[in-house]
Amino acid sequence: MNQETAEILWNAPAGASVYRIGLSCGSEYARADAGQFATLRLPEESSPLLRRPFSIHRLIRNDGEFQGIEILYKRVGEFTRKLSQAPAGRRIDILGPLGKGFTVTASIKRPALVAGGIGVAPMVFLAEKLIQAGMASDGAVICLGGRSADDVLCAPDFQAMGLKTRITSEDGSIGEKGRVTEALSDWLKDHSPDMVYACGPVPMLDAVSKIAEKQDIACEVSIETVMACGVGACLGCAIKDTRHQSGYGHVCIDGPVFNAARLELTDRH
Amino acid sequence: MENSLSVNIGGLLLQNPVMTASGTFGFGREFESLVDLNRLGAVIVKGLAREPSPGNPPPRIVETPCGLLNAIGLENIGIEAFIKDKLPFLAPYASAVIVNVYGQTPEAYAAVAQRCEGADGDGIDGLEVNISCPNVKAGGVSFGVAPEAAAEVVCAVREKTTKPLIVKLTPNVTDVTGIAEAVVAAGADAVSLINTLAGMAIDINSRRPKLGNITGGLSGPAIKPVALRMVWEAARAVDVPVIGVGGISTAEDALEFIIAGAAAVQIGTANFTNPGVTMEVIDGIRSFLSREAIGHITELIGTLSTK
Ligand SMILES: Cc1cc2nc3c(=O)[nH]c(=O)nc-3n(C[C@H](O)[C@H](O)[C@H](O)COP(=O)(O)OP(=O)(O)OC[C@H]3O[C@@H](n4cnc5c(N)ncnc54)[C@H](O)[C@@H]3O)c2cc1C
Ligand SMILES: Cc1cc2nc3c(=O)[nH]c(=O)nc-3n(C[C@H](O)[C@H](O)[C@H](O)COP(=O)(O)O)c2cc1C
Ligand code: FES
Repeated sequence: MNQETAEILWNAPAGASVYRIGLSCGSEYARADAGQFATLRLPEESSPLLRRPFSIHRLIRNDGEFQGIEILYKRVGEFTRKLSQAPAGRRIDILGPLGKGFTVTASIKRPALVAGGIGVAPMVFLAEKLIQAGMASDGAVICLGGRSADDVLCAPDFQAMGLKTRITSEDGSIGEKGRVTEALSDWLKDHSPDMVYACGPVPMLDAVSKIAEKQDIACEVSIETVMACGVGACLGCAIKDTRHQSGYGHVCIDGPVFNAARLELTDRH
Repeated sequence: MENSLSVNIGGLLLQNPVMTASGTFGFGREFESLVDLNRLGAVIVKGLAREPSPGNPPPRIVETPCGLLNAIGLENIGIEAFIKDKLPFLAPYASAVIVNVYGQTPEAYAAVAQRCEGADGDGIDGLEVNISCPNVKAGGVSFGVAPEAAAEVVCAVREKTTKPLIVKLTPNVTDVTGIAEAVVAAGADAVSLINTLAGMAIDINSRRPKLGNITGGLSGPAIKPVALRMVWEAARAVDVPVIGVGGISTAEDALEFIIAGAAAVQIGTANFTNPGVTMEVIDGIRSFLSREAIGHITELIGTLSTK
């Protein structure tokens, strides 16, 4: 983990209110795990006060040489609005890599990845890591869901990697009409994944983890909470965690990726 | 340790006047790769009680204009776990180690102080007593809002400790000088202020409080003017060193507190925004002294001119 000033390599729209930003950060990120995150701050801006957390979306390599990381972000409030206006060449304060990522081992051969909306951000990196660890890409499925076509992101990236993709939207404007959890249940009718990985809104994570539990499939979920420090110092990012001695885990250091079985997600929505 | 920045805080010798505020710097280790832990005046660790406690239900933090509302609820690992698991890492560094103490009764405070006296507590250089906690006997009103209750806690701790004793004052009172005088009379070697200001925030759509605990404590740049005013008042009221806390994020902020009468400062919320802030503040104070041709920091303390 370190704090550095990175240069914005690019910062371009990637859909409705969604952007990709490339940052020229140090080689510590070359060893990052999928699911880890970094916190950002615009040095010239005094507001917002707190740094904002974002997942590592992809490592940027040029001829195999590490150049930095890419973040996929959605414009939702003050920070992301200001970030979306920052031009290439501008400097940004980045702290990371932070947290614990997804478990990736050579024994995982046929996982199901489930992403809701911008929750897809860490999943591209995860798919790359799984393939690097020896997974045949057509063994894996990714279920992508969102409210409408605008919220379904990165499908071409997964297709290019060779993953099977299942797309759903609640309004039917893209893929099957329905929820991403329905696509997962459907897949489970004639497949038995060795792991379910999920990232998205809490109600979705809750539903996914219940489906996985019923079928006795290990399940890891990436959780979002508001964070003040990102390094385990403020204890602000607490979440009910049955395995944690105090009853609370801390998303920034114990997560953001958790074994779903140890969390109590239901009372959070 | 004699240098242009060294200060003596009620018997506690610090290499410079910049400390990290309790609850914002963990146990130091969290910032190991972000700051030079040998360069701080002191690290004040997260508040510790006799027993571990889980803290408040989430959400625990919400950002407000230029500030941060928190309701961590004193989640704490307990003094025993601190001495066993956290202190051995921190003690060897040149920065002083100060234990922030809280409890629900004067006896509970005193028990923590006594535990720090053990041989394995040698690495603890001083105590800071947080009297903003609810007084169980007085129906949950904070010890820090009544001079008698505050003095009772300080007496109980004073009896059990040989270490320099700082008492941290709450700003949620009408007159901070009365409390400051009471804790000094009870044996405090220094006072620090301010702790967070009571506040709240509401989500208008759900009409629910934004914090799990409903109310919380406000910190950050928003509280700096209030903190500065209270430090100025306290410094005129007591003759022990006063430590300024509240919204400091630059060397200029720290210098304002020193000119108002603070012998040292603590940096809290700014560690979250900019983890390297303490190093920048130390360097900034040093360059201010040389620019103004001031030989030693103590020559600047309380030099506010109101004419
Ligand atoms: C570990 C982690 C990884 C994340 N990865 C990504 C990512 O890869 N891409 C991405 O776009 N976003 C990601 N987020 C969410 C991102 O941090 C927030 O969207 C961002 O902080 C919003 O800041 P803002 O100032 O623009 O909005 P604010 O004005 O702070 O908030 C606007 C709205 O967004 C909501 N919001 C604020 N913070 C969060 C949060 N942490 N989680 C959910 N909702 C929030 C608020 O409730 C509010 O309704 C991640 C969050 C965490 C904790
Ligand atoms: C997340 C958080 C946790 C805190 N925990 C403690 C604590 O355990 N004990 C204590 O005396 N003060 C605690 N404080 C108060 C700070 O030490 C400090 O007095 C206050 O935040 C004002 O300073 P600042 O504006 O620089 O943050 C905490 C503050 C924050 C923001
Ligand atoms: S964000 Fe501070 S402890 Fe997790």
